[in-house]
Amino acid sequence: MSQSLRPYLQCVRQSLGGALCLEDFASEIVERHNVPEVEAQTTPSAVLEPIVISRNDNEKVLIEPSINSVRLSIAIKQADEIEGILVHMLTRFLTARAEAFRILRRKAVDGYDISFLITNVHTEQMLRHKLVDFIVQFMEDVDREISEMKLFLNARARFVAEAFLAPFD
Amino acid sequence: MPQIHQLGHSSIADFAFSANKDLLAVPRASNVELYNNFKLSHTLTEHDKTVTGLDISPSGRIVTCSQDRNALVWDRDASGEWKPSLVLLRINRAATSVRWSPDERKFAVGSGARLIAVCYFEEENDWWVSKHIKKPLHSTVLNIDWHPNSVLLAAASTDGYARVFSAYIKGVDERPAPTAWGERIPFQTLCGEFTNETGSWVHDVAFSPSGDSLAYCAHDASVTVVYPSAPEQPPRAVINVKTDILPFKTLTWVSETSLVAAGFACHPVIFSGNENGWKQERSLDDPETSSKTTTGDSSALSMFRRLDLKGSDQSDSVLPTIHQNTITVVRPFESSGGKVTKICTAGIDGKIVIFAI
Amino acid sequence: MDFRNLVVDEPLEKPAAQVSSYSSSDFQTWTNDIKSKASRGDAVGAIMQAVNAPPYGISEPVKSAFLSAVSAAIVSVKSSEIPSVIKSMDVNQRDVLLKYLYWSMAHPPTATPSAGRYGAVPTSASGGTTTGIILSYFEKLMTVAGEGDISRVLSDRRQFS
Repeated sequence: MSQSLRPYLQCVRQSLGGALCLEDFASEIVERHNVPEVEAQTTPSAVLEPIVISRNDNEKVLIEPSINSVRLSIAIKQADEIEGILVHMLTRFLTARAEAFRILRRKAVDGYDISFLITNVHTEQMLRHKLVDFIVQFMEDVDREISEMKLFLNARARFVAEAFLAPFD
Repeated sequence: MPQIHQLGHSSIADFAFSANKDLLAVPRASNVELYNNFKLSHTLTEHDKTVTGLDISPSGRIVTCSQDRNALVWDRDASGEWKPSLVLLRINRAATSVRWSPDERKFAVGSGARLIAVCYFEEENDWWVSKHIKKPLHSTVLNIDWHPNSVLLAAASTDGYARVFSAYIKGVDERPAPTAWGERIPFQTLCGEFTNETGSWVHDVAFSPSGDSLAYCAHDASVTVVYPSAPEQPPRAVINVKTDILPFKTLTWVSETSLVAAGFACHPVIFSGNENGWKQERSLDDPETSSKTTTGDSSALSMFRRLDLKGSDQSDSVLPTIHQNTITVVRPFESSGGKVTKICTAGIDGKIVIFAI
Repeated sequence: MDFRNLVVDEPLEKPAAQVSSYSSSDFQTWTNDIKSKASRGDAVGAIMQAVNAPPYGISEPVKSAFLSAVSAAIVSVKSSEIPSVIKSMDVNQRDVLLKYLYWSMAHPPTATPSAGRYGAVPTSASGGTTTGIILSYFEKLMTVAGEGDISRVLSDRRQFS
């Protein structure tokens, strides 16, 4: 566990806690509709300034708050090309199953690998502190998952190479 | 000990008790549920979108408003059934909140159409009609509150202002006695306009019991109290109290010198003060001193592991407060000698809790 | 504005934010002030000056130059001094500091010239050390402030961007 991961996650946890103060807000633009204001971006007074929390250039979180929804986007660490491919595969796997995740956005915001869209419906159906826990847990797990997959991939590649090259010894 | 009533698990946007506290009305999605001593007795189904606000008048009439742009006044007929009558609101966006005036002759509806509809009964046509307050609302009106004289109306808006308007309707109201807010006040007069330096959304407003001061809470986690001096003059004092807990969504006065605010922090907080200054006094149901134990694995190793991994030393699945989610409304419940002794809160977690102060 | 004929279907412009009462030439001078204070080792003084006069409504490039100078001053404070700096601030100053921290994280410096001062070696990923310091600032700030301060900073209409 890297030393700077803890303050990073702590910062995300507290900033997200401050951003997740959502309420039911019917659209001022479209009659009888209720849209996530952060996605619509049509009512400037209902949208707040986004913030970025970064650990380094490769790992950062973008939080875009509004009155009834928060969009949270994560840039996952990609140290080399293999990690890049793994992150791409993993996020594609997850976003393809977005409806099962409820708060997952089907498409990541530009410049980030995966995005969540939390609306007031989610904070009403689920407990707010649990949603924050979930996001932080996800960020923690995804790093571990990627490094494990990379180790596994390397081990497998080594095994294949050894098996393939053994007859030529 | 606070009385806790768990009414289902869905969000409670607003609630109201009848004067004798027997009847409780709670909106549930597009329906309104009526509880008699906390037992479900009636369900009012007429709205077709989320019901956002309701109120019960001193004589027991219910008014509801909804995101379907309508408001309904419900009267109980001889057979005990509730019958709705439509209100000509003439708004083209969602209604957000509704409150009866203290004299029961009018009610006001805040809306996302950037206006407030002040409604009164027209005898000759036998229906409720409305007049609109538009100027200078720039955004959705989130909450409203009546002055005790039933003429002045305060509104909280997402444009960052708390405003005081005149809702004087000729032929319905008697000419009100002059107050610090204004003397001759035709309909739609802006009697006061207040903001915070942050300009963030104002969630709720409330007049003090005498009506001589106004409190509002904004999304910048602060509570502001305004003391007006005289009509057209700058206020005598505007006191802003910043807190370090999550923003307040709702507030109510307890006496002339104290008020209760509650919101995203899931527990009510008492503020007290006067013209010279206000302070955050104490919390009801304070999470810091709560005796509730956290459940789950409590070994030292796992505590440090959690601290290290998540930056949190709680294995909590339960918050230490009674409300497990945002408190949406706080209203006075019982008072004696001009001072509120019990307040009642409702939350997104479906709980209605009565706290003694 | 004629409110009787206001069309609600038309979106309104962005709510007007309060602007700083100082001009951009003031901020140009202060940028140099802060830089020289930080280079003389008085980073604490530089920060205290910055939190008292945030550049609201100041146009580019003066604003960015000022914010970068502040950001550099913030990371050049010794980590042992951070708690006392934070403790000496009132709630308004803390909120402004929090805004500077968020701004610094959103705009990591491309090079870290003062990286050697606090004994840390610049990591392979540029900006890694500075954001590390920013994050530890944030952590220490949160021991005094709470989530309410974060909400206040998020919902504030006076922003740097």
